[in-house]
Amino acid sequence: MKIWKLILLIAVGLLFPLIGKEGYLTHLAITILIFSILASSLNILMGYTGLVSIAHGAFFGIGAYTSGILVLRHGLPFLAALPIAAAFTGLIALGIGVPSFRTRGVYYIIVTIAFQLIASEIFDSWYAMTGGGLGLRGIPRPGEIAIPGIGLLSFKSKFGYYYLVFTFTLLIHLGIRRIIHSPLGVSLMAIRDNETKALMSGLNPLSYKTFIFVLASALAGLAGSLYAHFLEFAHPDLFSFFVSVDLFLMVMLGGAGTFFGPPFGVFILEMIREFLHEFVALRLFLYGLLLILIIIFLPDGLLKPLSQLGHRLRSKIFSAKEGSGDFTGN
Amino acid sequence: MIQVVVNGLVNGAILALMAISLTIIYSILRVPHFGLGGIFVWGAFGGFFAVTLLKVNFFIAMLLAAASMAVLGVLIEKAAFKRLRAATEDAMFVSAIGVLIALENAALLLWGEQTRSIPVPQLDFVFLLPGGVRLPAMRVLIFMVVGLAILGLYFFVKKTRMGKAMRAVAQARVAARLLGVPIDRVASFTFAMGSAMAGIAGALVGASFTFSFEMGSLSVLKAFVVVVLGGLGSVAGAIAGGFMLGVIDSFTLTYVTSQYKHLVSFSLLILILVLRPSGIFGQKLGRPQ
Repeated sequence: MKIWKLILLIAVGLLFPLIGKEGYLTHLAITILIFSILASSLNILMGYTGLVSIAHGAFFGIGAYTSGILVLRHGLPFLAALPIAAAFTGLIALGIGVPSFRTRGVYYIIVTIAFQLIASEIFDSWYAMTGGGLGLRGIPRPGEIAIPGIGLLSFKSKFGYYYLVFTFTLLIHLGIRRIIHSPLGVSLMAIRDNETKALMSGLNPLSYKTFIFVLASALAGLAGSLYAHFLEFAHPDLFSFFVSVDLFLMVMLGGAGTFFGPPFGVFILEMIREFLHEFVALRLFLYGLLLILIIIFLPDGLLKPLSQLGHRLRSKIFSAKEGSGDFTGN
Repeated sequence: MIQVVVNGLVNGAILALMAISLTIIYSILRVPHFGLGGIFVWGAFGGFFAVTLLKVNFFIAMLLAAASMAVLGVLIEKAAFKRLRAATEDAMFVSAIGVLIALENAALLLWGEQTRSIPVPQLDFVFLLPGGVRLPAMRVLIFMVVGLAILGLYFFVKKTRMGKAMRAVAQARVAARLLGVPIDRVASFTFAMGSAMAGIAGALVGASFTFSFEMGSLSVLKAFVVVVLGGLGSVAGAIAGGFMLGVIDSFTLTYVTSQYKHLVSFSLLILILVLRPSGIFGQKLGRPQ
């Protein structure tokens, strides 16, 4: 990715609310940004460390409920509740992560599913704390902050909230990019490719896996906090098993282990959700089929083959211009 | 007290049936087929429509459900797993989750979300056992059917040529293939058998309790708890594990909490997977990879 493409992407992101204003487009954009945080943090686990987790929705929910309850019942300001929610989610992840790494492969996935269902049941049944099936209502949006030189920025509006979420999304993605290209990222990929060899090379897979699992879950918790204060509402259905499967599908669709893949997957699935938002059953049915098709035909996700196709077309066009006609590929 | 145990054993019998279908597909083909949860739901609907639309009696309805689910199972194997035979278990698991979600939601699309129950007026009476224990006739039938299914499976696997081929594939797939065992046919038969059993389990649940499209994922996960309890690949373990989880569930429901009804079994699942991955009855073989 050239640097100018990155700048273009950020510029589009910054200018977007000028088009979207207070309307539905901005709402959609905020949702996509929040889910990009989720998908990219899940991608560090699935794509770079080889830990397939179907519990990301649970951590998302833990963050959302923690933040919502802290602000609503204990009167904490949003800016205090957000890091606490992330830290608490990370703490829970530490508790579940360390024992669960004794299992491997399918067993590990099943442990994550069991954890997701336990979390869902707690969201659904602990009325006193979570409001149960009625949901947690009236979680307030954060107030305004003063930015020197610009003035007051209020987060009550979607316009303002967009910039808050955008800032987090940008910072988190830059951070993830740093991790991937750091020695830590290389170690994670070594563990993904062959855990025994990684162990033999002097890495301690368990501590790496624990660290990255806690980090990714804390990021999911942070996304949950952003989401709850955006919707001003939390409900068990927003953090259910199916949300975890959605997230999983987003990462697979875009391409696990690619940096831009998961956000791209989020974009595609959110578009599908928009078109089919009145037909939940049909959408989930299609998601099921999509999972099967992707795992059979596109295990690398959509983005890689698409960009390869782009390269090939481009090199064909260029070679035609040069008149040499030979195809060197890439 | 005895009533609680009896209720638990009845649920356990159905759980055992599901667990066996899961475990035979896994031990023969290494496919963690969570899609069986979807088959289970479709089996219940199959039984329901056979009774209400075709007006056949429940026994024939059950056979119809089993047969149609066997066909569906084979189709699913061809569509979702055949191409993945060389892939990792993780990949097959993802595909299986896809099957589960697609089947459940297809049922929702086709037949809506209302809760149904298969009417079986012939069995609408209750045995009163000494000690005031009530045992509805339907539940007695469950025991009989599950017992028959297990016996049938036993004889099929031990006595027939195809059963022998299945065991060969389970032991050493490559060697079996080199010796001319037709893997594709073994896979079809295994899926047909597993799916038929899951279909019967669905019809039984549909007749003795109520059912709706969404019961599949929970029940298949519970069945997996049973499989893990009993030790993977062990049919006897699955039976014992089924009864155990059934009774545990029944006790939790009556004496501990009815609000968190799945909490106990799923926590149990995590605990066993973490602490004793070979199952309670399985011998210690080291960690399954």
